[in-house]
Amino acid sequence: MEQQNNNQPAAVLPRRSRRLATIIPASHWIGIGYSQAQATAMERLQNDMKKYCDGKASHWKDNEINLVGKRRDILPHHDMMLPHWQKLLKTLRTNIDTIKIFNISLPVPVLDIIFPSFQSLNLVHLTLHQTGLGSGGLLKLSSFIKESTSIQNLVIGVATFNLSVASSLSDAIKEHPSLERIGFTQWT
Amino acid sequence: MNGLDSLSGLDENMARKVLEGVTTLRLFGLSFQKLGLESVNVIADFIRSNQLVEIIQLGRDNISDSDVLVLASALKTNTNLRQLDLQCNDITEEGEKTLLKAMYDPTSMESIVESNHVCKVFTYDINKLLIMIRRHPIEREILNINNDDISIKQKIRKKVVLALCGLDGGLFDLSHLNDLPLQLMPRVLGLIQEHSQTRINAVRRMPGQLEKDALSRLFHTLREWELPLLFENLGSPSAMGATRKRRNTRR
Repeated sequence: MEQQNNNQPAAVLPRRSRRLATIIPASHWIGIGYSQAQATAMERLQNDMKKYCDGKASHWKDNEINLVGKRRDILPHHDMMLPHWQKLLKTLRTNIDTIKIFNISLPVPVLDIIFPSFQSLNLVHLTLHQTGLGSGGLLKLSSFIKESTSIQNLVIGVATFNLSVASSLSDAIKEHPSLERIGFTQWT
Repeated sequence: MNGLDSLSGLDENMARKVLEGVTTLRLFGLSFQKLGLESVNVIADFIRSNQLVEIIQLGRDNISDSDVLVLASALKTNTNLRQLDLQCNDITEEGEKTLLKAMYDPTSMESIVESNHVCKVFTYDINKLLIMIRRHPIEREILNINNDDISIKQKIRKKVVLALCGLDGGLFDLSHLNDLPLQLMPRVLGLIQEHSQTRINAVRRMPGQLEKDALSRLFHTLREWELPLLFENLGSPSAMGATRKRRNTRR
């Protein structure tokens, strides 16, 4: 699955949500074409992000952000989620060294937000599993790896490869100053 | 942007390209890929080139017995790899035997020496006790030996002893010991005794799976052996050379 969910109807982003990243309820997601399960997952994801922003995600490790979308499938992205990503990344504490994102589509616009923020952290462990990274996303990831001087462990879910992606990843990991472990996975 | 059309599974060219970058990593993992024999060949070449990588994980990659032959052969020239994880592939008992042979080939003394002594190769979860106790005792011991923090020479000795004592060992023909200097025999017997104790302890934990007395097994073997033949080559230059080499190493 590549990046943006283009099948979703273009919904008008409520102004308040755009500004404050307020929780958009499942009913709204259903209204714009998401399935019940996807809509529930979208609402839960926003809640999880908010907990991290508010520092209330105490049931997780202090140094870790762990976001899970939908079981088995990739939760499609919608631009209405961008304010939530922005807010989450703006409030990231400097002690965060582990970020794990599972089953959430991360199209290039989201990667453009998250990777610069990740660079400002001393990120040691990054897992991007089932995030629908296409060639554009993987090239962004390669740039991130190359520039990072703290990343040690990397787990990447790659559904598909091409030679230019393989080259850029190879170039990024070669003689890397901090990277020790890299795992490429793929769910079929 | 949509890159799906231009993307495909990992083929040998892409595998080669990615592996070119694996120069300083400790762990490299590639899972859930439908690797073909060509890609496995590329990975085998990478293993053969003895890079610094210590752990390679190739789980759920559709690796079959024929792929395993290539990997096993590559392992013989690698001295850096500590783990080759091949869980959840299409490897049968035959393939597992091939992998075990890469770590422990008791066909002859030479084949034992030429085996891989540092890498743990496995096709199942070695951290699960319930799975491990179901594996063949020889296999468990070989994984333990390769995992041991001892010198390669000590590992070879342990494997020789295992081959002499184990039911599946292929060294019952003691002519393999012809080139060994007589002075080494007490050491070999000592190791057998030590090994015997280990096995007795193991038998207490898992009765019926292991031999009770490896030393008595060797005794039976020796009793039927023409002892003069065992030591007839003792004066040969090769045997003396081997002794000198060992002394130098100790220094």
